[in-house]
Amino acid sequence: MSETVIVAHKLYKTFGEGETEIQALRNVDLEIKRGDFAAIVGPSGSGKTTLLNILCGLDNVSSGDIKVSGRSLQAMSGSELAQFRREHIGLVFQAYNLIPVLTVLENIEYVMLLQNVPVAERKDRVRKFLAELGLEGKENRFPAELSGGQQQRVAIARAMVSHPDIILADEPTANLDSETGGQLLEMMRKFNEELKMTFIFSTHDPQIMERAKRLITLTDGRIVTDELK
Amino acid sequence: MLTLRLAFRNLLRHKSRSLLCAMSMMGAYVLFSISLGFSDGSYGNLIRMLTDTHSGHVQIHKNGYLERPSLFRNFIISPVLKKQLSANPEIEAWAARIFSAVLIFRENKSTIARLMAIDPEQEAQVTTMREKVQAGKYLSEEADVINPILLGVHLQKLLQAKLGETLIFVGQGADGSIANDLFTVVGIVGKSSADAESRMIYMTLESAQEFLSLGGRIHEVVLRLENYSVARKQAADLQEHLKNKELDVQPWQVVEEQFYKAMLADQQGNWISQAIIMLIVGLVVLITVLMNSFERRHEYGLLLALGTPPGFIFRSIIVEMTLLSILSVFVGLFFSIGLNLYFTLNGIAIEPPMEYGGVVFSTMSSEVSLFVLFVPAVFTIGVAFLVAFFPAIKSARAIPIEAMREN
Repeated sequence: MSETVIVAHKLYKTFGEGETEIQALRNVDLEIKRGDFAAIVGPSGSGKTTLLNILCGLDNVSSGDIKVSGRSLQAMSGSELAQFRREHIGLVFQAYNLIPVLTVLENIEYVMLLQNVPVAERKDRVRKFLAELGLEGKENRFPAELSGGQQQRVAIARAMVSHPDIILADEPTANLDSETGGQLLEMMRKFNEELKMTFIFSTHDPQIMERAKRLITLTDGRIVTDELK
Repeated sequence: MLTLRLAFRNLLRHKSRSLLCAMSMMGAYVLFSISLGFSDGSYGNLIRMLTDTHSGHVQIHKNGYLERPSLFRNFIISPVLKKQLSANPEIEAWAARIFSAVLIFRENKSTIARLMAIDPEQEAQVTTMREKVQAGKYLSEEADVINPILLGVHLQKLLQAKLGETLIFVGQGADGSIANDLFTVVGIVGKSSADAESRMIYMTLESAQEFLSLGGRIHEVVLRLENYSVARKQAADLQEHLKNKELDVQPWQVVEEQFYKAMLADQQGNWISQAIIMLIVGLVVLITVLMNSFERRHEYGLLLALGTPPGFIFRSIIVEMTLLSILSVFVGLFFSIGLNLYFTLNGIAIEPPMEYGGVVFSTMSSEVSLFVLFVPAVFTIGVAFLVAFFPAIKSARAIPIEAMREN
């Protein structure tokens, strides 16, 4: 039986107050197992991104409990959360979010630099990812010199190269054409199967839904369905 | 290394903004340095003028003479003292002096004057005494004249005395007698009545010792050092080595105490204007760093989201501003050296000349020294470093998701 890496219990998240109050999440219970390749789907404003942000400690819950890799996120300070993300979570954003002043190589190895991974190992892992993602020869380019697809590949490499327990990807294919999106998804699926990395996507993309092993549907901040495929 | 790399690349990212901030820091550094250069140069000039024209760098007196000068507070320069003074490599030259007050008569005119007796050749090595002669000859150039004197221009006008004329001097002898003798005017000193020497009488040590019945005694030994800035140390060392409790060795700062205190007070005033320059630099740096950190809030949020320790973000902002200030100071150093050198060589004329502590000051010039270059550098880098603290703390404490929602 697979180990549970995320346990969320009775999560509520409210934005604003009074007349402008929005309930982004309502009574969300969720368990994610190691090796899951799950997609959180639902219409815009259903709370997908909010849930992802909460699962990695980027945002706080209004109420409820959340444990990731056995640790309660609510109990951690800002710097403890940063350290936790550095060690356990890889993030992929819709808008790539690469560090503009670092090259492709430096962006990919950034988290490993923070983790003090030895140079030789760092270079070795980066080289493998560059080859895997078809970015060879672009190591010294800056993000602004890359296409959207290339930037997202770098962002995926950055998230995965440090071998985190969980990868959280917020609409990773939203800005890509379907062919590039499909290639990246295949690659992530491969890593999921080979390295048993846990992937959680928030998405509208049918390609992701098609490849996901588990579909979690959110509507108005509630999980309405949670099905294994 | 990563911090430095990020800081350097961030500086290059907004070249015009970095350049503007760097130019502000560089301008402030150069301004501060020139201001210090002028301050040091002007005071240096003042000190040199004062010590060159009269006081020398260190003086030796009988105890109590400086506080209450008296004909009777005199001493003999022993052979041991002469040897010590001549053997000290820090002492360029030294000269003995006698002071007294005399009544001067010429026909139906009379006046009181201050008398200063000197060894003409020794004195000329210590002060600019020889250059003060505006008409006639210097004391040592009139060997045939008995009792030659140099007469201050103010006294000359008062007595309507001419070169070669004989004046009658009456004073008090050290043995209690009434001193009187005839003295011949061989030269006129001072350009106008405003000059300190225009009310003075100068004569040779031998003439004064005979006139005042002082024997071989004197009132003052004045020393010229290689470097005036070590006067205090030299005076203390000399006092220790003299082993003569009756003699008092003091640097020019004590001898010309009023002048020195006025100069220190003036320097304090300069520090205020320099502090204002630094305040302006601080504000420019603060605005630049705030603009940068506001613009990069999304990025700081991203860095925190990726697991970057807040301390790393804090350090990278501090390093960025410190790096920029170091580069600014480095470039400013060349301008600073060049401008200070130019003003050292050329100076700025003061019209009309002003008097400061009895010394006429006609040119403001700068001075290049490590102090003039180093102190503004430390201040500029220090201000940039300190001012960057607030935005750096603010950025490091950003809430990642909120910061990432911006921009």
